[in-house]
Amino acid sequence: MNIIFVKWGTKYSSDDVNKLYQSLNQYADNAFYCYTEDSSNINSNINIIDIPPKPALKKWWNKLAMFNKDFPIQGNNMFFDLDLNINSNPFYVLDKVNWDTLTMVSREDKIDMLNHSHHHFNVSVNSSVLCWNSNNKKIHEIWNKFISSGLKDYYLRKYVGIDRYIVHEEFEHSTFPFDYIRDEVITHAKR
Amino acid sequence: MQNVEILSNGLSAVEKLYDQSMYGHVDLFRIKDLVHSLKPNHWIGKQWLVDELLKVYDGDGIIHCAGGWYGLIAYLIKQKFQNNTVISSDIDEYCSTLGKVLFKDKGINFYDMDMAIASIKGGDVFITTSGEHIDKEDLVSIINMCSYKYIVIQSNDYFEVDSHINCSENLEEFKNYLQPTLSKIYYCGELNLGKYNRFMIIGEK
Repeated sequence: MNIIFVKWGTKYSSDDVNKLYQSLNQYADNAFYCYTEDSSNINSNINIIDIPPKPALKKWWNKLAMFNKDFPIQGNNMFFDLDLNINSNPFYVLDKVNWDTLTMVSREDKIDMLNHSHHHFNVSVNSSVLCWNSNNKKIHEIWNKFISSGLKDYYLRKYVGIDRYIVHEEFEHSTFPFDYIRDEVITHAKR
Repeated sequence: MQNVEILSNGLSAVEKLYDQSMYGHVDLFRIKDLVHSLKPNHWIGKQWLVDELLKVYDGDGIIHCAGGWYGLIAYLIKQKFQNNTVISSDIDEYCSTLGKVLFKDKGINFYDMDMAIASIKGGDVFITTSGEHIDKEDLVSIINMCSYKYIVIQSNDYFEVDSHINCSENLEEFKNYLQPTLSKIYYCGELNLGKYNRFMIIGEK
């Protein structure tokens, strides 16, 4: 299994990448990758995948490129956002992952925010941790539709982030156990 | 009166979107997008283009507004270039659907078309006010293969927006990457629109 980070722009630094690598490396003897346009000062144990100049994407939208069938890694993958703090082994969850689909973080606490109308906008999942298999054609569709439908610009305006794009464009996904993001395992850093 | 008619047509477009949402196709963000396309800064920035183009071009050929969204730039062009064939094209197919409602009977030809295809259709003037949405490399390539005599490009320095993937820091940077694609420059300037500056270049292939 590959472990992947995405760093674009200046919101997160190489220190954030290296710190997360150190936190995870104690629990996993896996290949680590960072998809970035600026690899300076990133730990040499982390393999760099360069963000190409085209198609130009900002911020979290670069995460979608991981679902491109030509993304240069194969097999099972686990992605972590750079603002996560790892408080204990986060890989215990792997035996519960359905590798036939995209697995996202459940945000059941957001369910009360959904008004269940046809055009509800909030979603009860997030993409701070993801699992998927690179060979899954259904995963490739997430990228293909984004980049080839003629609606890329519209999606960027409409969805604000990839979580809403994945849910509202009705791509198949499952979730980690609902309490995966909790103080004992993983927490979001307060920024 | 013209603007009252556009307002009325806009409300008809909203009604159409609501009606569609009742019977299956639910995309109410289109309403927000349509409203956004008619914000004052869009009128001001596009009228600026029309005013400057009038000083450069007085022909009666085809004027193609590529990446024309719901058609506002084509509408403003048609107001001043009444003898010209005015085209509004966009890769987003729903733009022509709503554009035909919004600018009904205004003499605009709407097409669903990728900008690269639009650029080789041929005519007098090729316009895009969507420069900030197009990869820089693609925009340069599109202008290089463009089969129109006059080229008008707008972009901006509004970096904060996720879909603005090709902003320029300033007018000089904007001019520097576009100048090599043009044999002659008639106009290059900027317009302060409050939160951001809009850049425009009018040149000849």
